[in-house]
Amino acid sequence: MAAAEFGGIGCPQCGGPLNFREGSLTTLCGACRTALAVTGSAGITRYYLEETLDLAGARSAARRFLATAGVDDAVASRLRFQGGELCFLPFWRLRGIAVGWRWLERETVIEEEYLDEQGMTRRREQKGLPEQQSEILALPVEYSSPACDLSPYGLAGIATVSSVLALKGVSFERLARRGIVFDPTKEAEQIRREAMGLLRERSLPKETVRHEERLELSGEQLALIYYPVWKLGFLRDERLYPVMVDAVNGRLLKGRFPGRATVRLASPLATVTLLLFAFSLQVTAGIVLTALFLGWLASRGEVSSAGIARHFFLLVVPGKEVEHG
Amino acid sequence: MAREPDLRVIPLICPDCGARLPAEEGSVIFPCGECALLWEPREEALVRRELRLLAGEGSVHVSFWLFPFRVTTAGGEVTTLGEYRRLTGNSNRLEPERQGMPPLLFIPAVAGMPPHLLLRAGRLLTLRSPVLTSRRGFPSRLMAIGRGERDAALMAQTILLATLGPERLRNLSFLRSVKVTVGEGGLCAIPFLERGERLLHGEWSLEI
Amino acid sequence: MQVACPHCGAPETALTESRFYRCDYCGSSYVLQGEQGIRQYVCSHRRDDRLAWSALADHLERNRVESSPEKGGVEFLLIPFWCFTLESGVTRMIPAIPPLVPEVATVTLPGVDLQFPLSGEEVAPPEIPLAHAEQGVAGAITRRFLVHLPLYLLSYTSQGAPFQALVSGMDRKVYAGTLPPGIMIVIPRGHLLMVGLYILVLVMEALAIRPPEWRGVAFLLTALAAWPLGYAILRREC
Repeated sequence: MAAAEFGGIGCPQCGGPLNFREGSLTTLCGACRTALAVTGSAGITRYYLEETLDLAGARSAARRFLATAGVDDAVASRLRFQGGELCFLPFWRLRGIAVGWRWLERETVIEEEYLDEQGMTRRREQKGLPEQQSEILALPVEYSSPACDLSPYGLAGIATVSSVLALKGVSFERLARRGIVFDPTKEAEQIRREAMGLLRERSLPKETVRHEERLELSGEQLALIYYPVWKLGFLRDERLYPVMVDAVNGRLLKGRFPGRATVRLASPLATVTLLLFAFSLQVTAGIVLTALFLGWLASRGEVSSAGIARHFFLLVVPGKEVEHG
Repeated sequence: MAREPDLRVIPLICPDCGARLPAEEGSVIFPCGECALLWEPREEALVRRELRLLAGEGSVHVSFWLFPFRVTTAGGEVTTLGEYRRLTGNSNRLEPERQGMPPLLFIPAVAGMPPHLLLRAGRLLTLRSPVLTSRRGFPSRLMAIGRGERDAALMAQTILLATLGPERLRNLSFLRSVKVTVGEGGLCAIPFLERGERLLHGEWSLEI
Repeated sequence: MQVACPHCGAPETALTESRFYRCDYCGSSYVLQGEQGIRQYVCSHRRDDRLAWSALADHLERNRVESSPEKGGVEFLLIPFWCFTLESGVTRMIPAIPPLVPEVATVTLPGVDLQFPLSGEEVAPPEIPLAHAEQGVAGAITRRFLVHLPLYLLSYTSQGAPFQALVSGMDRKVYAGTLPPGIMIVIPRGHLLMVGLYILVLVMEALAIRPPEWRGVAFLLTALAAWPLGYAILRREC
């Protein structure tokens, strides 16, 4: 990629592009080998993942999906892509160690022996007195969550990708030139609360009756990671179908594709012709044939006004839409 | 544009001698071997941190944060080492001159230590409250420092509780009442002997 | 009166007749509520009515209602909302103008690129005061801002009855209060016309041709001719 297109922050020593690893507060400039410490405003570091697909690449990835997802070839060949925007979607990542104490009361079960009516010794389980215990906790915290409502984009999380791939440091001015940078509307405080809430819930033993805990987050590393997604759309009969393509690996994240409609003309034509011919011969013949036709419809479970209307007038049967994500 | 601030990077170059500082994985405080100093990034600059080197036998130095502390519990306030030893139920003899000294919390500062080991190392050293003998110099091999003072202080209450007996901890009103206040923290480097993947301190019979 | 920019703190002399302010230092835009400056944002969006109708069609299909409603008018609205971030981190939105349709009150904040309006960009001033909107929010508020959201108000007819739906331009979310009742089948008018025409031809043949065998032949020939013709016309719909 040309230096002019570089969207991240560069090395303050030599200007070379920098790569970062999530969770690491240092990096090394590949060009001048200077080590760098990473800091963010209010303790929040901001990174983005660079897109590997351009618009043409995203469109061909969407087409490749069409070929394998059961979308009819004839439908796929007639889809016309319209526009395409590169969106950088924000995700929160929180790491740290939760430390503190937990006091809990849990149910206990005691086994006791007793003599039954025949004088035989039997054993039974009974609820014992609740047991109180406490523990000192030091648990690793790793939490990820979308930083705004990203439901239309079909991307639920980026935990695996962001911990494997190299990240770039965000310079908003440069990044905004590459694509639309979404703003986080979820506050950092909510992320902390969600992460700690989840940890409390998961680390609590099952049989707990009552509990109380005080947990603090030490070594907090809070990062906002912007993930690139191509927002494509295609037009069919004045209807716009949005398609979201992962701009890192070309995966189709969300999309809805029309199915192929089929013409059904033979059956309504034949029925109309036969019935009219029968009526034109003799009314009784017409009535008999109509009864036979209704009987046939009934055997298919379609004898209703909608079923009859569908048989005679629905000449094009819409195909089942293919939905993904 | 309604933008949040960008990511900031600070070149790790010793402000004193201009040498490049090594950035080991997980480091937050960086040693300069040339001038025997520690540097910590703060805002957009590097600020100096003091390191106290402890005497002892060992080839590798592990860093700990040392915090003088006082603790308030349902049973009263603990401000001296003698009182702290009584709180933990330690009946071993303590030199009279150390009785009135403020107790010290040891919180591991080393990077990459799993949480349970961190808790264990902090608990063992705090419980033993060893006599500390300093020496001049700078460690030749110092394990990466991955915890700043603020993060270490956040662990103070947990490490202190870990040093108390389980009977006390079972009492909910006692747990609720415990309040630890720490003073200014100082970094110290403790020498350890390497035994495979374990680190040993012979004099204190300590293994981490 | 002196006010401070809520973004960078730069002072500005507030003129009582003006309600929008632009900071000369940081370029941020804000509205004045009492003596408090509240940041205001717009969302970059190009009007495209097809997008709104497509979103509505999707919504109706998903709810098993007819997919091709009779389109009525489209009103493109840039509605200001007071946004309140609560202590819990949740963002609540309250319309800052009296809502045109009740659905406006149910709009949620989409994933969006929030920008300060460019100088000269026309946005509607809030009519409902911040303090009034705040009364409807339960919980401690940590952040207040104003967002002008692009919304499409669609009017459509289904089975003769009029309906309205609100579509958010940013995330294509549909806010529709009442949906048309579910119907089992949609017969396109063209199909009705084709079958009707075919029946008419056969009836005319039946009246014109008396001998049954010749009538049968005529019916057969008509069916054989109608099939490829009809197929060719209908294929275009697939």
